Amino acid sequence: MTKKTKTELTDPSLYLNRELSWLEFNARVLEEAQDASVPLLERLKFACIVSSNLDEFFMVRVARLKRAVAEGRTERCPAGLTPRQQLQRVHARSHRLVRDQYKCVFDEILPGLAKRGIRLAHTPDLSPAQATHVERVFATELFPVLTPMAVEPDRRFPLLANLTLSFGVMLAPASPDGEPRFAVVPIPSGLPRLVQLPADEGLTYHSLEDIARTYLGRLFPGQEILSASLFRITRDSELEFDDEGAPDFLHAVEEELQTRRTNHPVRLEVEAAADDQLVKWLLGELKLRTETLYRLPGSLDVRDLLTLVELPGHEDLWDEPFEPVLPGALLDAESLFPVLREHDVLLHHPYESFEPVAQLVSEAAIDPDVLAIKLTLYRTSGESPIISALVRAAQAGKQVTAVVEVTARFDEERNVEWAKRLEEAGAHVIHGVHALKTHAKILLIVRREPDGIRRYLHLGTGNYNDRTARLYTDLGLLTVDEELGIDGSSFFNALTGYSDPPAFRKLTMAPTGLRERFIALIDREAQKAKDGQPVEILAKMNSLVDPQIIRALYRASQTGVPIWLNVRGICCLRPRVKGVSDTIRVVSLVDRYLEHSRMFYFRNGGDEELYLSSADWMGRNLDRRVELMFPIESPETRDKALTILRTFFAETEKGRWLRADGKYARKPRRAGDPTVRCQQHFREQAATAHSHAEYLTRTRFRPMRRNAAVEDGDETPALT
Amino acid sequence: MRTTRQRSSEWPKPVAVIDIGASALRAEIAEINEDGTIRQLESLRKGVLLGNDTFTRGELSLESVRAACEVLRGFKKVMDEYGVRDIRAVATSAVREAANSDTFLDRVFMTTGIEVEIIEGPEESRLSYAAIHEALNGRVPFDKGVALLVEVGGGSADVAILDDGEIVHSATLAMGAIRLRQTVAGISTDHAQRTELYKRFIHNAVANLQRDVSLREADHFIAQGGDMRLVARRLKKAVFHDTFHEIDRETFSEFCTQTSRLTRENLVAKYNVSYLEAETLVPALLAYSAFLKETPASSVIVPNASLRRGLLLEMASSQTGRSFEALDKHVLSSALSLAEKFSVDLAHGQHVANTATSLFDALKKEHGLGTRERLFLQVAALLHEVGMFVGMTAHHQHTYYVISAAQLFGLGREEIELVANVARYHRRSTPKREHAGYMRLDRAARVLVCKLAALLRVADALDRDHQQKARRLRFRITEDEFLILVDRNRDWTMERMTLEEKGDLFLACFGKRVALRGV
Repeated sequence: MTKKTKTELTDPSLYLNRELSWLEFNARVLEEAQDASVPLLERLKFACIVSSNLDEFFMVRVARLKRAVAEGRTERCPAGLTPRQQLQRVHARSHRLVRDQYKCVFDEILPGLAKRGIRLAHTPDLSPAQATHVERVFATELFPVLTPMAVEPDRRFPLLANLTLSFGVMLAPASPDGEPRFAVVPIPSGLPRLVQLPADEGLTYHSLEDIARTYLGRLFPGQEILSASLFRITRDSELEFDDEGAPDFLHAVEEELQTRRTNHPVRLEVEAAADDQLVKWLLGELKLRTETLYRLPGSLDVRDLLTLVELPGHEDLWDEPFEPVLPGALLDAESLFPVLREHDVLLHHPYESFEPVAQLVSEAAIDPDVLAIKLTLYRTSGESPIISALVRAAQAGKQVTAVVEVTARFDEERNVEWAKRLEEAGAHVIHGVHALKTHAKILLIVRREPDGIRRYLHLGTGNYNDRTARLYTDLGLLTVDEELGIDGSSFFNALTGYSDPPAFRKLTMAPTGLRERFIALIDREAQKAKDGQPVEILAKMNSLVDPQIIRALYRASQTGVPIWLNVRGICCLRPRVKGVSDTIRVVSLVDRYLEHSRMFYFRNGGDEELYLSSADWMGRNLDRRVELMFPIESPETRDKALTILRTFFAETEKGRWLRADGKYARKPRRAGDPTVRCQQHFREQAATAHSHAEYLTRTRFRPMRRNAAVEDGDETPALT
Repeated sequence: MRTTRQRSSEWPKPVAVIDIGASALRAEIAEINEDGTIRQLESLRKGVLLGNDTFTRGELSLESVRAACEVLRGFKKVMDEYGVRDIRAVATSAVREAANSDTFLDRVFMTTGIEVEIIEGPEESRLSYAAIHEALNGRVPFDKGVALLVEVGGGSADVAILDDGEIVHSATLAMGAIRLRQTVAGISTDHAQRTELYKRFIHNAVANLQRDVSLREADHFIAQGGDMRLVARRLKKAVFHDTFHEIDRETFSEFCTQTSRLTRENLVAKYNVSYLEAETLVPALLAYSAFLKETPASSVIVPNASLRRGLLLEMASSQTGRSFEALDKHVLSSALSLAEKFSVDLAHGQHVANTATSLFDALKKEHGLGTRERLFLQVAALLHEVGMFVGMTAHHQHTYYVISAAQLFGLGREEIELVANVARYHRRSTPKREHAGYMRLDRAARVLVCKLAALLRVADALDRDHQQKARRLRFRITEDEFLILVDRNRDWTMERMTLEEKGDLFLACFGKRVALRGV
């Protein structure tokens, strides 16, 4: 085995391009849509996610590459590609991805839904009654709002909003020897895209554009339409890519980005049957290259098919519903304070409920002994019960500090309203830190107790958002650990500017030292491997991009440290390369819930350490955001976390392993091997633990004492 | 209901201390338990280079004052969260030496409601020493042999020498890291040249100190201060012992040499320190290293202690009524070594001190004073005859200026002035408006001088013949008399006569005639 030296570890062949790796992730999401064992509406949902992911990817990442090319920049990515090369490959891969996606939606999912009585009807298939209905819809709803815009050769192309649909229309020349004329008809985005038609059985929908297309001639009286095709422009959003947004984000993006009409276009989507001359005209007007053109064999913007997903009923087309449960330790607790004084609690969402966190804030809001509540809010819904609790707390005279991260302008307005409400109630609202996004998730409650001040802390990998807590997998620690408490206070003092960033006892913060800490932890494993001590690294995250950390992992692998990585999305590390990353295995898990937790385990010669963090191994997290990493220390919580982490590497159903060639593949299953599907396993396990705890609670009688103090620690069960 | 849930006991009590230094404002929020233990809740630090102003222009700039007020307002907010009502805020050299310190204090008070007290170098060392004592007591044998204690702050460096655990010498040198930096910055911009200049300034200061006291016998080198704690945390070779770090002599010297070559930018990159911290690191390290060179100590002990911790310890002792004994001992031993230097009759001095404290304790109700004042009385009693060294005639006046000019461990400038006054009035005239030294004190201090001097005069009268025969005294207090019960088998004529003369101040202060009664 020839060991590569430090400089050689920067060899481009050892890195995967992040944009292409991201596209592979989106391809894995598409695989879920293609999976016949997944219920139909879930499959449709995955297909829609592929689209919204791609939209965002084009607006942010592709736009960035395009800007780099336009500025003539040629610096290569760690994988050795210039912006121009990346752009070419990104488009090539996207074209394949979109082709597969459309095949899946229009050849498999929609026909499947039609068999179940949910139809998307095409114009020729309409019954006379339906055709009449369609005409009425056009006349009363569509016609008044459709505005054709003629585009003269010397005139400016209309400023069409980002991601909206329009018809491009080619009209016959005014004189026989003239050139064809062109016009554009934007489809108003305020109207529902799918219109329900009367039908004898089942549900039949017809698309707005098909209705418009049928009567398009009425918008151009006396003129001949040579051809018409729907098209959609994607523009540079000048935003940062972000997967934290939850469902909220997509809608928000739409609202805001539609208003951005002047940003440069990066992609043009047209219908497959669009006339070549029309398409050429559009590309010319938008100054786009042919590679940015996507001809789609089906409806543009399949995201609108989500209307079907949101239909009530049809439970059999969905995954089995699942209600998050309370972990046993909190089951019978009237108050969380005494429970948490006894032991730490680690919550695994969405299998375990996020409710205790909301409950803790609500309880704190009315507890007379609570002095202060502080937390970070990154993209929280305004209706969140946490916000109402904070308002109550502030009104009750408690010191409430909220570090609110308003990431993009579109979030601002919806945040302004509840931020104002908080401020009016007397809370101290801080809108982030200059030049950094506050991505750390931390809640701190300061309570005066008979033996002194006690700090209750929640540290998490996910946002304080009760909605995403049901869709994302995250972990959260509830603790009263003294040193973490001091660190928590220091953290807020640093964010509020009351103090300079401190020397932490147990927390590690980005951008001041988190990368260095990760590298030190990895290097320590490598050192201990050389000393012949037991070593192992297990890590789980959303993205692995940072070249410095990747190099540290290569170094560790070269000393023989077994490294298991669960990376849901982008992974720029190339595993299983001889002499470099032989011992590194990378698996990506895409299943019902979005994998979102970040966990880091180091065997450390037997003195094991396990950390959770809000940060990925990405420059974005390590340099440009305020992030936290915290240790899981109590034996019970650490065992629980480690068991969870190990399970991810036993996945047999939804795991795709990254190969040395950069492709992902499922593990070949041998007959008789047990099947492990993590998300299902965690769900069942949580439910079992819950009912067991419930049984224990039921069978243990608790005599009611008058004036039984809620604070009395003996009164509450300590089940683990 | 809120009222029923409120605890009957006030403990633990939330308190806070603030230290306004030359390079930063720092605060500590803590709880004091009934048994005097302290639990840290929060530490705050915000860099403001007040020293830059004072040490170059002699006064604080408007911007610095504004910045400091802003920082303190933030500190206050955090303190309010814990319901802290007891805040002790002190300011050191940067404010002390600023011409506009009064307006600064007023601005702080007006914007934050915090009353800041300016403390002197010796007071600073006393408090720091309390924290060092807590961190090292029983862990490092610094109470055996000679130990050198150095704290390089922003404006000044405090040096103390301990002999078998007792402070025998202490001094404050105008050689803080920021002061050094500012001085040198005005002379040269070249990095290497600056380092040389630092070394020269430091060398001179250390050499001056060596004229008074030798550092060569120091078995232990204890280095205190923010820069040193930073180094101890960053240096991998520093051994951590729970309450202090220990750095091997060679490791430290090498580190200092290396660090002094780095520019500020390199320091920031290499040690992950802030620009503000990097500003002072090199001059501070050079100073510590210069002191270390003068001693044979094999390692540098960096206690996890600070002025703030000292302030907290003092608050804990005053809140719980427990005395700050560890420190009082050092104040007294440093007074004793001064007394020795001036060839005072120690037996007499100590006897008068004992008698005076018995009187003090017996009259607690009448004078209403606390342990700190009791300590002043003790020191004044020990030193009341130092003036005799200069000349017998009017020796009380010599006593006044000798004490007034002395550096005594643990006593601030004003406190020393107070003690000097008390000692001065042990004989002859009682305080008068014509006495300049007396009139320089504020009214409260003047009242205190009268009360303490009244006791000292009585105690001194009881040992008129330096025979220490007044022992195991008992007292009887009536409406208009304070009777001292003495052994009737001995002759007390001299003492009675002296009391007649010296009891005047006692009568004036306490409204009682002092008399001896044989029993």
